[in-house]
Amino acid sequence: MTPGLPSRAGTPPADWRDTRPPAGGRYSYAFLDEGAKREIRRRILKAAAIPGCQVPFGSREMPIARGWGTGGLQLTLSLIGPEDVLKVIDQGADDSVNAVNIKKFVTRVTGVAVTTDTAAATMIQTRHRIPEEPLQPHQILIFQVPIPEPLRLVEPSERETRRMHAEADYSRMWLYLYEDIVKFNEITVGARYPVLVNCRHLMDPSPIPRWDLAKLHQGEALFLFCAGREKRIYAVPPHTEVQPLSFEDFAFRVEAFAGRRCARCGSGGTYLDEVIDDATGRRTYACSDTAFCEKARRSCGAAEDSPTREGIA
Amino acid sequence: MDASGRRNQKNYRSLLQSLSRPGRVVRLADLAGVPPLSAAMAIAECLLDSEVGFCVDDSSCAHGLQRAIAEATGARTECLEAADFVFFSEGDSRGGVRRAKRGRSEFPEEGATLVYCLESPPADVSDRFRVRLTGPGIPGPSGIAPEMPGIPVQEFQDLMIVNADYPLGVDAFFVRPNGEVMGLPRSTRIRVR
Amino acid sequence: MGYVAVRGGAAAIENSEKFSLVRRAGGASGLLTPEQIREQLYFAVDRVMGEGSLYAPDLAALAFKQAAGDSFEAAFILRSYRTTLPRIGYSEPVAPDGMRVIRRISAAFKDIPGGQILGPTPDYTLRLLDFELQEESAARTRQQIRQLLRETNRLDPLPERFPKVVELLRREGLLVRRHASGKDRGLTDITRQALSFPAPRSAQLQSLARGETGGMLALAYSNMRGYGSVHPVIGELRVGFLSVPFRNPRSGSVECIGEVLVTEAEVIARLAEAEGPARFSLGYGLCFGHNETKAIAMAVLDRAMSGGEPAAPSEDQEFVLTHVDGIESMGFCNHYKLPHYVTFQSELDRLRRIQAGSGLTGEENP
Repeated sequence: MTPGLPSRAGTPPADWRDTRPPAGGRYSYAFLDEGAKREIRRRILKAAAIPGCQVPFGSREMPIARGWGTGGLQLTLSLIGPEDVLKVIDQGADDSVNAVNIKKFVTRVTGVAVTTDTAAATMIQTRHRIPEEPLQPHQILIFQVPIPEPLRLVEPSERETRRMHAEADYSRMWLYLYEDIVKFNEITVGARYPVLVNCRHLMDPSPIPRWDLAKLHQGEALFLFCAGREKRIYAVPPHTEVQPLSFEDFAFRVEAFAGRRCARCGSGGTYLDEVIDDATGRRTYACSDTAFCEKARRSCGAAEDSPTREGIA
Repeated sequence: MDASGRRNQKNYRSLLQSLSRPGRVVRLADLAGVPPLSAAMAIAECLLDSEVGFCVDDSSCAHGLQRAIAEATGARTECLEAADFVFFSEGDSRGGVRRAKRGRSEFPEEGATLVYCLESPPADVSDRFRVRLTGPGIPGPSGIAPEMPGIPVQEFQDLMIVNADYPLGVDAFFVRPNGEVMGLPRSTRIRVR
Repeated sequence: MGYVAVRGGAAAIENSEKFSLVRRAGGASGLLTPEQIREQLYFAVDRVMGEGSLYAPDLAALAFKQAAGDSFEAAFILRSYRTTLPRIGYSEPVAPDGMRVIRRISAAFKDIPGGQILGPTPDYTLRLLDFELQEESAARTRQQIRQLLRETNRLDPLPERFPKVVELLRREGLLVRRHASGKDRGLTDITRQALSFPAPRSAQLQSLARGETGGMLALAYSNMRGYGSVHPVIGELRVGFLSVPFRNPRSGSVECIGEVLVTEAEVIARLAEAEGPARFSLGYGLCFGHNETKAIAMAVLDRAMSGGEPAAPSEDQEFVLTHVDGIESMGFCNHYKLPHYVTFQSELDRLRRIQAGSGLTGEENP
């Protein structure tokens, strides 16, 4: 049985302790004041107008720590309204401690409905994964970003990377990848693989696996990225070119699962978590996207432990 | 959430939708103030405040819009060349678009946001089929014709020139009094027959 | 299947809050009041105010209580509260020589106009652990204080104004002229826009003023020891109360809306590199509350960053300003505890492939 948040619409999760805003004060709807929201909204428009280009913004401190999703949170809070249905995932899981904490905060300051069902959500805030189910035009996917600068791998100075973007001078990144191939016969970059957006801006897709990059390319939904600590917003509109850097004679490769299937739902086409079984030390694999996995299991009436299940569409 | 906050949130979602899907017509959910300026006011209230500068171009009803925006939002009045937001009182900027700021190479996002306030649909609506839009937000390699009629072809040609040095450029909204909005970011490639 | 680390999220969070409550308040000792913290742990409160960037001693004390003494957490709580407060406006500029001083010293000169006022400082105490404090008698302590206050009534009051030592140096032409560089025509507000480099001096000073004391100390120390060339001499260090003047938006007149306790350090540093006659340069530090370590570190860093090409990390403005904010650094440091298994899986994939020494070059999309 998977513990987790129920998917009832319109009911925020109950707190064990009655928490009210400080005496004499009431928080604005969605915590941020209108001025903060307006500033963030202006920045998002510019980001959408220049796909992949990092737009600086006056990032506010949030009640969760920097590095824990304050950027994604500021986007969510600036966009959300009472009709929205929110899904929050971390590493693909809805009931991860961090996702739960963020959901708790957002529902507390908005009263908005939450869901684990990707198809039912209008806004999805995510850390490090794109849901397996294809997104629809009315949906917005908000990425939490730790380090927005793809060139940080080769250059620590923001002043210098800003110049490189201005001049579309990405030679040092190409050189980095080339040296990897020479040294290891592989490109060693795992997640945060650099992509070229709209044939112009090099972008950090956030630490999603390479597996997920194809979903950014010519997508149906709007993708918004925000780094709260680094104070940058960027965006990939639908139907936009997003290409991982690769060489003519050395193609871009995604993570390999050697034909393994999810031990819980039997899917063969999803990104899998590797789990080391406590008792036996044996390795099992399960869908990282827990909601997708759950849906797949339910739709086939699969039992809890049936590692020999065939794949499902 | 109070009424204006609610209105701004809904209208903003429409504006974001329109800029992410250029060339399509989207409707503002909730108009503000008195027609015929209500759609422009809705956009102003949504996006402007004391942190930005704006300009309303010189035209017959411009003075009313200028004062209304300044009072409602507290935004600074600037000359066209320095304004973050430029309101044109028709679909024709008469070259004003070429004077709006386009950003700096290291800060392209400083380019202005233009709001064209169109009046009622013109008699001849066939002009728009001379224009082809492609790029981010527009599916397919052959692109689409702009869905909103009544914008002079010359304006598209001017925008094409202004935005030729991408990522420098301007981003535009075309809005009608009934709340219909069409977005045209600088990333859209414009071709005119 | 065995235990999967990230499940049961909501229950785990609730339990962790309960655990913390038991840790903080489950012992036999009487519960601390914010008032006790504010009065008796005043250096902690001042540090939290300075790093939280909100002058509010009662709230800083409350945050410190809530955080069970973790000053990073307390500053974070205060900073987060600051976000929710409406912005009314900016104060008028304040001349710090009008400070209501409680301490004022200079290392540059043996004696200065107005005198060296040692004030409340632990600087010259012997750091011997005082076991008498274990059984401090409230009655005796209060009696001691009453006696002390009786004695002070018999002394001469302090002058109302102390001239600035650096002004004396300026008048003699020994110090660089006060100037505002082109970029500094207006004030930057770092809470409203992201820093970009090179940053104007107002942004530099704001960032340092709210910086984390330990981080700033480490960077300044590196400069003092030789990774840099400031060679500081403290021209003047002051601790005291500054009036906050604010222009009434309706009447237009300037009114004093309160007082804030601040620490100010003016550090005389190496010769300036400007054209014309050689002069000393100045580094400036100012922070909320009584925090001398931070003010001195700030002044040294301010000067270090104002030179030309950086030869050491403390001289690199981008390096220093990006890394001194305690809320950001603490948050990011601790974020590594969040699950990273998806990205780690991606790294595992890379390493396994390299180890397998695969020679495949074709694409392998699903």
